[in-house]
Amino acid sequence: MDAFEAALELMPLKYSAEIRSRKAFLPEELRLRVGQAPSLLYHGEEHPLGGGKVTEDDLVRVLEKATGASLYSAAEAMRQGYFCVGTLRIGICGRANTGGSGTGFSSYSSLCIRLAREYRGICADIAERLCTPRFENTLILAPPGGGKTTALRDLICTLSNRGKRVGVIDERGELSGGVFDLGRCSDVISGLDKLSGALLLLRSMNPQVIAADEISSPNDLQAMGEIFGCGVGILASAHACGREDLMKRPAYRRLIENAVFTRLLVIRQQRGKRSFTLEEIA
Amino acid sequence: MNKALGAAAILFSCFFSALRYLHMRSEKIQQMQALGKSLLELRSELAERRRNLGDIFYSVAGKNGIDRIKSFYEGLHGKLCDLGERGFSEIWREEAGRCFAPLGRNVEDLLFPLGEYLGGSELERQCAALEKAAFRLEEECQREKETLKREKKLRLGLSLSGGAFLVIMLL
Repeated sequence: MDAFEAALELMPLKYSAEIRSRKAFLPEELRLRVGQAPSLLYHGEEHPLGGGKVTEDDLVRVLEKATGASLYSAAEAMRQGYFCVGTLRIGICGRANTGGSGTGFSSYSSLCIRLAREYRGICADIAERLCTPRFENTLILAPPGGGKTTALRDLICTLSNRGKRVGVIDERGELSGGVFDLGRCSDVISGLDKLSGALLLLRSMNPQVIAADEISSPNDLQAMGEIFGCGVGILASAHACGREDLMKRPAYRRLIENAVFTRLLVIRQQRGKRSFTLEEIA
Repeated sequence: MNKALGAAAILFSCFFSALRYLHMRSEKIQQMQALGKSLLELRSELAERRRNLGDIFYSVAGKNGIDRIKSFYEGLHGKLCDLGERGFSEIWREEAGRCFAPLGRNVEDLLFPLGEYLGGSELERQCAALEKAAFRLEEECQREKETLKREKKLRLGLSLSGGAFLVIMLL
């Protein structure tokens, strides 16, 4: 089942028909906000749908369906704001609740269901350049929803199919999604944070490249520091519109200044089309 | 001879119906105890294994030999595979009503609110609710046992004396 069909199964019936009618637009996200009409994100814009306003009960039903009525099992991930179910990534907003062992939300106000897709070969030429003359640590940059994970997935697959042993730290199962092909030489560790995952891969899998999606927390940055200098390449992604943007954040600036990353792959979006620019950091 | 046989038959049937009633009551107590035990099993599976509810229901159903309880958990497991438009608490209520109505209103009242907790997200609250329900079920069992003890003598005495009265009247 593709991501679109999986998302459709979670939706309340009252919205199903209209969502299905827009499948051809290849929606990237499905958004539900309490008190508003649901909407689909495609061609870079949100498009509202009919079927009535969304209620909090609708959001709870979606979460119940997504977790098999076992919200507690996704609580750990939900406290970070999102969790993954197969090829879907479900982001949550609501009334934050810091106490207790639950999801971190005492009520829900919005859900953002991101539909992961596999675009094979979009980074094939980039992968070629990444390995010339030899693989250099590369950080993929794009704003949220800019295609970082899709590009990283394709790069992993391409490098791996070219014979590079790629250790993948798939913290929440978003990269592999349970269905995506990450290549013949990839070893995927999921369910661990990036630091623990990196150490485990280094110890046990003899990787040539370690890949990780969305490095953002201090723990993630520490993981990059641990890998750096071990003779293993790093391929990671981070939120930023470009190099200038990245350098505004002290933690990332340190990574660049310490030459942990020597190349940046910047993804830009213009009129719904994505372009990839590989920049060398002098 | 015929009169004696008839008298014996009357006495036996009165005694037997009283015994049957008492047996049904004690069976109900056994089922309530098993239900309480299954709630505690559910609690420990929830707390320790962190699996999906559907899998946990399936596992608890497999451990239970009492048809009514097995059918309850199997029903929940089946319906969780296809939630449709219904919420979990609705399904829980429906299955509890279907399987445990014969155990009485008190048991149903005790079970119905559990669906709200189990469908929620806080493991601690879920476990606490299950423990509380199992404890209250145990209390209910004790009450039933005491009532049964009192009724046992009364029922048997009444059935025998009623049967004897009928025999005397007929003779």
